Amino acid sequence: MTVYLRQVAAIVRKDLLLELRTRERLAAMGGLTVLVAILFHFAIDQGLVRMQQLAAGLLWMTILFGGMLGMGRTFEMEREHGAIQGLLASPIPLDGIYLAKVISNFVLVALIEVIALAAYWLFFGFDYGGDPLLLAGVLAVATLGVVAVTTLFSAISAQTTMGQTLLPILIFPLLVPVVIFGVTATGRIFASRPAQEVEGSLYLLAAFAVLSLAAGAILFRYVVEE
Amino acid sequence: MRSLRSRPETVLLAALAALLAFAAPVSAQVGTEVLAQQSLRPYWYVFIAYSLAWLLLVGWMFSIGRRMRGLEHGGTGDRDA
Amino acid sequence: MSLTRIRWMAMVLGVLGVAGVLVLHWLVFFWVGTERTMGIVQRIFYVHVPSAWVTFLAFGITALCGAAYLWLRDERLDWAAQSAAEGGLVFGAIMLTSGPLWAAYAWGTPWTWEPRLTLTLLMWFVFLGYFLVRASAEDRLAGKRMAAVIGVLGALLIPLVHVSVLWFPSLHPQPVVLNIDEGPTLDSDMLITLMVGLLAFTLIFFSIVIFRYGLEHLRYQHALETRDQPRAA
Repeated sequence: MTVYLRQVAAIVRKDLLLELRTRERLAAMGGLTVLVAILFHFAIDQGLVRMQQLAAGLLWMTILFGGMLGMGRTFEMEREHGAIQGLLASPIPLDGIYLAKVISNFVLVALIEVIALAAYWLFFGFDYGGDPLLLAGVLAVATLGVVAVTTLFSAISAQTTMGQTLLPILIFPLLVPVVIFGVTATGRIFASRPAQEVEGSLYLLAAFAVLSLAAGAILFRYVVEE
Repeated sequence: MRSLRSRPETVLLAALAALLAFAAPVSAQVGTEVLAQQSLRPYWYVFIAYSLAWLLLVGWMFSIGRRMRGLEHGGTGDRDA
Repeated sequence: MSLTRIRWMAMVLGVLGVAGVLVLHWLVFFWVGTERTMGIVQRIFYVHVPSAWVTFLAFGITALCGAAYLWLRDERLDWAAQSAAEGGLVFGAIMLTSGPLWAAYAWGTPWTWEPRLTLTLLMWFVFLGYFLVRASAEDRLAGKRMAAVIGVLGALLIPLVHVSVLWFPSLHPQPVVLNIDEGPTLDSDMLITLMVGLLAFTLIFFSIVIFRYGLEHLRYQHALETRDQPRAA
C-alpha cells in the first residue's frame, strides 16, 4: 500500500512540477477564468438582473469551462512526446496512474476556483456569505466529481480523431447532476442560508464523486490498454 | 422465402399496410366524437405521437436493411455508425 | 449462431411483435376507456410508457453486454451492446417526442426541467456520445472498449435518476403500475392495454435488435472474406 501511494505521489509530483515549469495549462485556464468574468459583465444587463443572484451559476460555468480547457490536455501532452508509453509500461498499476492524474487535475482546478472567486469578488463585489468552510467543502466535493469524470474522458477523447472537440459532448451530460446540486449548494451558502439546506445537495455531490471516482479507477484500464 | 428473410423491412411494410387499413375506421370514429369534444387538438397530438413513433421505427428498420444490402452487394462494410 | 438462424429468430419475434402492435392499436382506439381528467390525449401513454421501458431495457443491455465485453472480450457481446444502444437511441427518441406531445396538452407546457425528464434526455446524449466515440476512434478495438466504458458509466447514472425523482416533488405522474403500497392505481382496461403495449414494444425491440446484430455478424463474415482474398480494385 505504501509503495502504491509513493508511486501515485511520484506521478503527481512530476505533473505538478511540469506544470510549475511550463505553466502551460494554468496560464490558459486562469486566463480563461478572468476573461469569462469580463465577458459575463458585458453579457448581462445589470439594469435588469443583479449579478449577485447569478453568482453561483456564473461561478460553476466558469469552473466547468475553465477546467475542461486544461483537463482536456491531461493525456494529449503525454501522447505528444510518447511519454504515455513509458508511463503505461512502468510497474505502476493503471488505477494508480488514473488517481495521480485526478489529484494533479484537482489541484489545477482548485487553483482556478480560487482565481474565479477572487475575480468575481474584484469585478462584481460578490458576497460569498455564509460559512467559508462549508463553501470550501462543497466546492471540494463537487470538484472531485467533475475531475474524476473529466480525467477519464480526456483519456478517451485523446484517442479519437475528434480530440478535445468531443470532450464537452461526452462530459456535460454526465456532469449535469454536479451542476444542479453544486449550484444549489453554493447559491444557498452565498445567500447565508442555514447549513441544513445545503446538506442534501452535499450528500448527493459526495455520492456522485465517490461513484465516478470508483468507476473511473476501475474503467480507466480498459481505456488506455494497448 | 430467402429473399423475404433478407429484407427485414418487408415485415414492417406489411404492418404499415395493415395500420392504414385500421386508420380508415378510426378517422370515421374521430369525426363523430369531434362534435362532442369540440376540439381537434388532442386528436392531432395523439396522431402525431403515434405516427412519429412508427416513422422512427420504420426509418431505423430501413437503415439496417440498407446497410445489410450494401454489405451483401460487396460494400466495404467499413461504415460504423 | 448462424446468420440464417439469427434472421429466422428476428422474423418470428417481428411477426409476433407486429401482431401485438395491431392488437394494441385496436385496444387503444376502440376498446380502452377515455381517462377522465386528461381525455383523449392520455392515449399517448400507451406508446410513451412502453418506449420508456424499452429505452431503459436497451441501456441496461448495452451496459451489461459492454461490461461483459470488457471482461470476456467476445466480439458478439460488443455486437449485442452496439445493437441495443442503437435501439435505445430510437426508442429514446420515441419516448422524448411522445412525452412532450402529451405534456403540451395535459400540463400546458411541452417540457419541464423535472429530474426524470432531464436525466432521461441526458442519458440519450450519453449514448449519442457512445456512437460518436465509436465512429471517431483512431483504433477500432480501442473504440469498442471506450464505447463499452461509456455504456457502463451511462447506466451508473440510472440510480441517480431514481434518487433525484424521490428527492424532488414534481409534475411528472407518479408510478401508477409498480406502486407497492396501494397496488396498481390504473383502471383494469387501461392496465391491460398498457401491458399489451409493453409486450408488443419489447417484442419489436428484440426483433429489430436481432436484425441489427445480424448486420454486425454479416460485417464480420465480410471482413473475414475480404481478408482471405484481397479485392481486385
